[in-house]
Amino acid sequence: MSVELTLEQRVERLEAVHEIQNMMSKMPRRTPPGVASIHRRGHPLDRICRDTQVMRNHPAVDATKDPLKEERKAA
Amino acid sequence: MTDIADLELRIARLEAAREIENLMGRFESYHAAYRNELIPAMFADRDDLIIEMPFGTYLGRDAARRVWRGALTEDIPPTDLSGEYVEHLLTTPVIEVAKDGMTAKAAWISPGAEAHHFGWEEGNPLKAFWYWGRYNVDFIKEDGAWKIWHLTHSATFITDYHHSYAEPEHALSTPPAPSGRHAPDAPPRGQVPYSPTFNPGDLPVAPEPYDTYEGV
Repeated sequence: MSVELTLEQRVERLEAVHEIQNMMSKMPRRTPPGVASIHRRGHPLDRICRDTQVMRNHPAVDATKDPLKEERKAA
Repeated sequence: MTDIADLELRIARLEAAREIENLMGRFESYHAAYRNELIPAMFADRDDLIIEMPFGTYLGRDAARRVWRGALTEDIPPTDLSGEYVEHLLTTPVIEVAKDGMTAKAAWISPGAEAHHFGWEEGNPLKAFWYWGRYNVDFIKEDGAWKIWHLTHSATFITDYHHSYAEPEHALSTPPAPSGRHAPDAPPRGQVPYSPTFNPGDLPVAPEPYDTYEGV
C-alpha cells in the first residue's frame, strides 16, 4: 500500500538522508580521545562491537542522542 | 502547520548541499582533465578568499587564479601531457549548510593517485604515486550560485607507488616551490602530514551544524 506524503514529510525524508550521510562521515572522526581502538585483540567484528559499547558508555558521548537507546526505552 | 517560508528555506538548504557536492566534484574533474583554467571561476569574487595548499597559503581576490592558472599550470612543466595523471576522490562527505542558507562548511577525506614527469630530476622520469589528503572548505552563495570561499587542502601523505607512507627514507622529491608572481602569500597552513610520529588527534574534525557564519 503506498502512502501519500505531505510536502513537509518529503522534505523531512530528504533532510534525514543528508543528516545520516553527515553522521556516518563524522563517526570515525568524533571518537572521543583515548577511546578508538581500545580493543586491539580478537576478531575484527568482536573489536567493533566492544569499541561501540565503550563509545556508548564514554562520558564524552551524549547517550541521550543515541536513537537506539531511545528506541529501547520506548519499547 | 508548517510555514511555507520555513519549508522553502529547508528545501533551499537541501538544494545547496547537492549543488556543493556537484561543485566540488566538478572541481576535481577539471583538475583531473588538466583544465585548471576553469577552476578560478568556481571561487567567490571577493577580497577575503583563503586557499591553503601543501605548497603555501594564498590570500585575496586573485588567490584561485594564482594557484590554478599560475602555480599549478604555468609554473609546472610539461606542456606534453602524455602519461600525466591526477585523480583526487571526494569521500566521507560532511556538508553543513548554515541555518540561514547563506554559507556552508564541508569536509572530505580524499584518496588520490598521480603520475608525473619529475622535470626537476635528471632524465625527467615518469613516477606514479599515491596522494591522500583532506579538504576542509567553506562556501558562500554569490548571486544565487554557490562558490568556494575558503579552501584547505591538507596532504596526509604523498608516497611512491612501491613504498609505504611509513617509510620516510623513500620520500619522493618535491617540485621547486612556486616563486615570482605565483608565489604564496604565506607558508603552508592547516597541514597535518603523516609521519612515524603522527598524532591523529591533530586532524581537523568535520564541521558541526551552525546557524550563521561567524568568521574563520
